[in-house]
Amino acid sequence: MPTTDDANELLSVRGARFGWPGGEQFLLNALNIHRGGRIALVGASGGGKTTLLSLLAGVMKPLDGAVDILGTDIAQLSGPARDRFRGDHMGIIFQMFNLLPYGGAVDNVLLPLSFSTRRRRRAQAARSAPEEAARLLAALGLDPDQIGARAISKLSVGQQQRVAAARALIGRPELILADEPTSALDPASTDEFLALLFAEAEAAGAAVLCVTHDPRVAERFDQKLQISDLLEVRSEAA
Amino acid sequence: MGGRFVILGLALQSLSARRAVVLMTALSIAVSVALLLTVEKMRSSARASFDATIKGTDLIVGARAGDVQLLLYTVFRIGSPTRNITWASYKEIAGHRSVKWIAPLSLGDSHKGFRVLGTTDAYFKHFRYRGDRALTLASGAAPADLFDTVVGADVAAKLNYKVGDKIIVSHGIGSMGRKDELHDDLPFRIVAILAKTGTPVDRTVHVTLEAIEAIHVDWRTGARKLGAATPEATIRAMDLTPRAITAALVGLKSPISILGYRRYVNDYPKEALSAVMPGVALSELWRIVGVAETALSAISFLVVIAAAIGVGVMLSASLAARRREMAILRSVGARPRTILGLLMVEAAGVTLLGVLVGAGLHVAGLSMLAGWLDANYGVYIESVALSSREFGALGIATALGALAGVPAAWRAYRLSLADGVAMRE
Repeated sequence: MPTTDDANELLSVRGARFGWPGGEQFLLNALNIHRGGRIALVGASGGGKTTLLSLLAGVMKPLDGAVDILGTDIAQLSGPARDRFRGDHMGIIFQMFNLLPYGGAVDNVLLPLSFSTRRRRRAQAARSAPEEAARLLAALGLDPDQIGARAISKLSVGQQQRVAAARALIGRPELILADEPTSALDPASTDEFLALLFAEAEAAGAAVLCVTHDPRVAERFDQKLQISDLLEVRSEAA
Repeated sequence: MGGRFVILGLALQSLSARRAVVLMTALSIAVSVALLLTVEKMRSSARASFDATIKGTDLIVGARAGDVQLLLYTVFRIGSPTRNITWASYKEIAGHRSVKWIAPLSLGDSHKGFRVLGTTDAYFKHFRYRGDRALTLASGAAPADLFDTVVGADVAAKLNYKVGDKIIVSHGIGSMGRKDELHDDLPFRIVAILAKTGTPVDRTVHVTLEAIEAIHVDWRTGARKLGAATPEATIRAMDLTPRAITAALVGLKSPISILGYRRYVNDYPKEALSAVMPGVALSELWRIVGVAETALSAISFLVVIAAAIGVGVMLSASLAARRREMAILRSVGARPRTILGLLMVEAAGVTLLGVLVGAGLHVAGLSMLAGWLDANYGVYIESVALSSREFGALGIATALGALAGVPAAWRAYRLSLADGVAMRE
């Protein structure tokens, strides 16, 4: 398996060609993210950004090329191994409806620990897993005593996104992937959400890679990349 | 982390979050399973009760006829013989060296729709049903007089008879009780009522063989002779040895002699007779009447299949709403196979819940109804506990429910592969 010598390198995509069967194909020549980096991938819907996220999350395997994450080319892993790799090293935040409708906020935050021994161990390093979940919720501006056990449907969208962020952060995965995480929030909530997310990601040493169409959101990141510059569209027929 | 426990926990949480529809589905499974078990229990109990109608008798002897016909009119009191056995032939076959006991049966009269059976003490002594049970008196004492009668439990219950009541026997088995059909000059006195047996004995009026002869002194070929009736005193003084009987139950000294004696009766030269083994005839009869219960069984099984399909429908219907749930699980590292397992566990869980509730309903219902069934329908339920066969049926029902979840689970698997972590709108 090809590895990288740069200890600071988190993610490195080289010449990855990818796409859903029967859909458009894209070519990503190069993308590099270092540990703890904050990158915004900016683009309008339909520009292949969801597909790109699927590639980076290891749900989709590239047709060729390499996707190195933490020195592992996940393109070489089997499906279950990629699922496991994602569970161990990535936290994902969706646009909305991030949470399982059953169980409370704390249950949702703890969910990744059921699928990753590594993250469970890391989450439990200092305190018990539920305490760590409560700590994260508190750090993200939620009162765990108040909302910890509340039904998900009783939470506001802003509260739900924070719970989702806590879930992505628990067990300190190296990479947080976020897909338009603030598009359902008003500007004030957006600013607050991003500030808290960055603070916690920094504390956990995690890189944040965020797909957004909102230039104001993109401003908050260290690095802005236009998806249209990154991806070359290859029609299926070609 | 044990993946299996994760799935189980998620499945339980997910099911309890949708508890209204889950409980409805489980209830449909429960009802179908209770139906299946009850039909199955009725079937085995009916079969057992049926087989228990006559025991301890080695052979039934009658005029030549089919096995089933002979069984029907001698034991089930249904239909009638084509011919009788002459007393002389009866005496001869009764005198055979293999015979341990013989009970003559004389049928042909009735009382308000119940058959009248003329017989001897040997019948009361040797007739057995359900294992090795003998007839017992619920009230009264053994008959002593010529015109004493012992009635079955259903006769007494239906007609509200008690010991000491007088009853009048009608001529013929299809009698509507018209005046000219009644043996009204010679009433019988009920001296005893038999305990309930759950067999046709309950619906029988028992009199002595001689009494049958006595009430027919003035009758020839189905009608009353013209002229004055013979006075009772004269009849009592007459020789009342019957000229003929309908059939006889025979007990042999050794089971080894059954086939030999049967051949002897079947080949009896002076009259065309048949000897049938009750067990064989019962099996033959069951093959005829058993078709209905097989159909019933099949129907109840189809109901279980329908309920199982309901489980599949419930899961399939939930899929669209659950694509987000699946994407979330995939995002935290769940494999598509875990999603497949989750749906399968849910299907099996709902079915299992239904099966358990259904089995509980069945056992509780049966415990409450067992006495009533025995008393009213003669269906004796030996045990409400589930047999291994019934446990097998429960296993099959659970498997069917799980199986019905396969299409939904497979679709969820495909969706979670295709959707990945992206939740397509």
